[in-house]
Amino acid sequence: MIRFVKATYTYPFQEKPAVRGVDLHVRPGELVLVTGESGCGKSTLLRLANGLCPQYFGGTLEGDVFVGGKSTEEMPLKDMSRMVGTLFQDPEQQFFALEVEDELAFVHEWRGTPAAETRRKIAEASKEFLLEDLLGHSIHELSEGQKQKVGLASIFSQEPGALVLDEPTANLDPESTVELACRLGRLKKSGMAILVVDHRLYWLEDVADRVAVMREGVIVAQGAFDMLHDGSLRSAYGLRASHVEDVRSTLPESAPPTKSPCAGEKGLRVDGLRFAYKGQDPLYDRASFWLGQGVTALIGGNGTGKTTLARLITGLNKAQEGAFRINGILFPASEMLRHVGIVLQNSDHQLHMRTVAQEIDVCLALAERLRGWSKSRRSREEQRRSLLRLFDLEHLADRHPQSLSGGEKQRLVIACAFAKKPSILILDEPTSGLDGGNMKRIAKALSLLAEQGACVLVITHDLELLQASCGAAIRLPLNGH
Amino acid sequence: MSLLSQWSARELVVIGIFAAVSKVTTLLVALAGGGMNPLSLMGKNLVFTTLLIVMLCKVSRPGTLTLFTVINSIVSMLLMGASVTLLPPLLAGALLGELAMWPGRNSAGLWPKVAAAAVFDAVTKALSLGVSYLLTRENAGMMIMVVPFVLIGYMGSLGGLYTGVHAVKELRHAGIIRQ
Amino acid sequence: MQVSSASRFLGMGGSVAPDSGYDARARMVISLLASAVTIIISSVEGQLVLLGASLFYALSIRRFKALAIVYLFVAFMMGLATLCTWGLSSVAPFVSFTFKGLAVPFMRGLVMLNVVLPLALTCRIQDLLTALKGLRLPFCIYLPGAVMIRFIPTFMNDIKQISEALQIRGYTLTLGGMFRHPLLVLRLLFTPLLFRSLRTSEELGIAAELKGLDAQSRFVPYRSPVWSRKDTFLVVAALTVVAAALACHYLLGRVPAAGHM
Repeated sequence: MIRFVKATYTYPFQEKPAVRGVDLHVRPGELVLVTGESGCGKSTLLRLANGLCPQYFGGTLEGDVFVGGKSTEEMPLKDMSRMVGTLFQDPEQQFFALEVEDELAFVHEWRGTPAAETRRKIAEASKEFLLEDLLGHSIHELSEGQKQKVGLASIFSQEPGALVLDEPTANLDPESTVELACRLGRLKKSGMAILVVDHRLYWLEDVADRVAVMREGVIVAQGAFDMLHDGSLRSAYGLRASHVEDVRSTLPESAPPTKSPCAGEKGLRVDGLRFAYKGQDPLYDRASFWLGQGVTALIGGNGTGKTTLARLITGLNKAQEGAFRINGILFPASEMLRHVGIVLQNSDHQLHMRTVAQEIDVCLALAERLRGWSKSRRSREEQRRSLLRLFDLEHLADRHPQSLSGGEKQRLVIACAFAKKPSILILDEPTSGLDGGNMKRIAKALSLLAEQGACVLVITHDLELLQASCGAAIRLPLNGH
Repeated sequence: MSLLSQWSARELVVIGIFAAVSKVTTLLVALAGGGMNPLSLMGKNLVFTTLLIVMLCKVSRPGTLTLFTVINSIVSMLLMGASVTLLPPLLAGALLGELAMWPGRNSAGLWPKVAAAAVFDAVTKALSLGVSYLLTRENAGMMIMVVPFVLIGYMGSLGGLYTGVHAVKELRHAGIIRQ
Repeated sequence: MQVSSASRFLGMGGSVAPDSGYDARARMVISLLASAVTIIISSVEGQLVLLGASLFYALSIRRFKALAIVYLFVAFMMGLATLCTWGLSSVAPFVSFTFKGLAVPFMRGLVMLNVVLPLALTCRIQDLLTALKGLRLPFCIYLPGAVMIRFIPTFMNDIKQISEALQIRGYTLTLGGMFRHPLLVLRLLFTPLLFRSLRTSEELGIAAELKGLDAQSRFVPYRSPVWSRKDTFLVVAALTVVAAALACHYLLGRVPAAGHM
């Protein structure tokens, strides 16, 4: 169904090809997983399969890419879109409508499909993807897993012969990830050719027919999923684990050293926390918890209020009641942000300057002002260098922050948070979309910060990060809830 | 190819996104500043002109400014209740802006777009004074109060020409807009 | 006068507004009609008819608190304008300070406010999208229009997140700071939004191509917005009010000369 024959592709304004001499065949009823470290060319491979390269991005293609026996260069994108469905990491960015039903109808309406036919397609797709109860919902109300289902249902309703997915699990929790794997298994059985590009590997162990590992635009290894169990291969190509243990239920509960607050205790103690969104039942009602030194995971299902808790700790959301103590000292919620660092999910919103180096410098200067430190210019430069080194950003120091890849931006915003030297640091999904090498780099940096005495709270769906760095857990809902 | 089918779907999306972001930012700057204070008046015009220049660089095609204006006006008028009287000045500004851009229509350079934005701002501001006269024609005193506000807004637009050039240069540095 | 539906947009997703009971297109027609007629009519009598009917229309949505707040704000602005005009008329005799000269422009503003509020406060964003679809506009106008409405809530949320990111970094934006470092403030607030909008347009542009959309696309709605008898009644009532206002204007009102200054 999808066939690459000695495909070499170069983007416009680039000298080096992004993909070189690729031979790959995805047959109907087959699922092929393509993986490799960031920037290895796997997303370009996907863009070649759906015709975006070269038709949308321009550039030059040597060799051939065929879909359903036809060359992708000779077929208009409009026709290609009927043969290959594409799902991206953030499906919401692909939605044109605000309600689920309208989104499912959108493409058919603009293809001139008769109304009755569109209604039938919506009914079939929503039944297949269990979306019947969500048809009238706003897309903003959906969880990431539900958004992905809407994206898939929309593609399914167009009845393409092939499906390509770009990092589909980056924003999903482990349960939704398993559900997606089952669903892809069913689509595969129905005869669809599926090409998945992802850093996370374990979830496709029972579904993938073949795996291709890429490096610098070339497929360096290809074979059955079992080849990923070879640790030396994974470490050579910066891959994630092929099998992951779920430690969410086995991590010890984060417990305070003493029952009541005392002077000299090291950590964050929150008592009597009460918070409810306007017009809703309380999310937290007289809840208490302890965050000690080390790396602690915040664990809970969708809608249990993990991000809300992080926002309450920093004062971004105002708690209706609650006592916040850092190292035994009581602080008003409005003061918390001076002592607590937080890295939110969307890194695009957190980068302002012209270069990566400037971005770090500004954060160091702000931290100095906030804490009343006075440092020499030399010491600031030294600090900047060490942060860039820690997050492997040295070679990008002069680049514009907004021109970095998603993973590089993520590392930069974490480096900026480290610049503040916070005694408490909260990170919301710090490793989504990162390859194995960079995931380990973040895990190492967090452990390093914890060794220096900081309390680190991690909100994550990434089972590998949990396993690699977390020593304790706070589980939601909290007691007293 | 008919006039209305010259834009590709991706170009239409860019126009829609920029119409949304310009609406949101100008609305919020106005709300944050209480609507009538000089700083927010300048700020919202500055942001609008900056976005206009970036959009014209992203969708470099004759007619884009007019289409953007039509979209903005339709949505503002039909969905947010903006007065229908604003349409003629905006359309006149857009058409004259297109005219200013016409000699450089085939160039990927920045300056034809800046010229278009400058003409658009100047014409719409001048004609908006005429609209204000229509609305307050029973009392000339009010008109005297309108003029400084329009002038302050226009100063923001002039600032927007500078920041627009600056923004496009930065976007080129970041590799997001290609020369 | 542009009364934005900021409250609705800030509510994200637009699911906060109750069902208006009227098709959004009917409310749009009224808004358009009012904005045109209120300019034509320059007599107090004609404006009074428009004001009374539009106030009744605004009160019918039963959002008394919102209406009161907006009216208070407008009253404040009008008070300010009256004071300035009085001040000007005392130093510049050619500026008139008459009841009619002040009342008509103010009434124009209030009429627009009364017709826009029901549109802004009762229609959900999804209703507006459906209404836009119902207007059967050409593809090159519908697509950007729909994208614009679809992304206004998203960008509202983005701006909130950008300002939170600044707070987290430790920036404190003060009015003085804005005067001293306007370019820095602009960079901090605006740069992330600019890049974000470019990225969104790139991603959505790709999505549009992958959905096979182009200018030749033929649109067939799978469900049409319902125009009920109630909507027709509303528009007919509005036309009657317009006729009555015009009649009052020409029969009862004295049309002030344009040069009445």
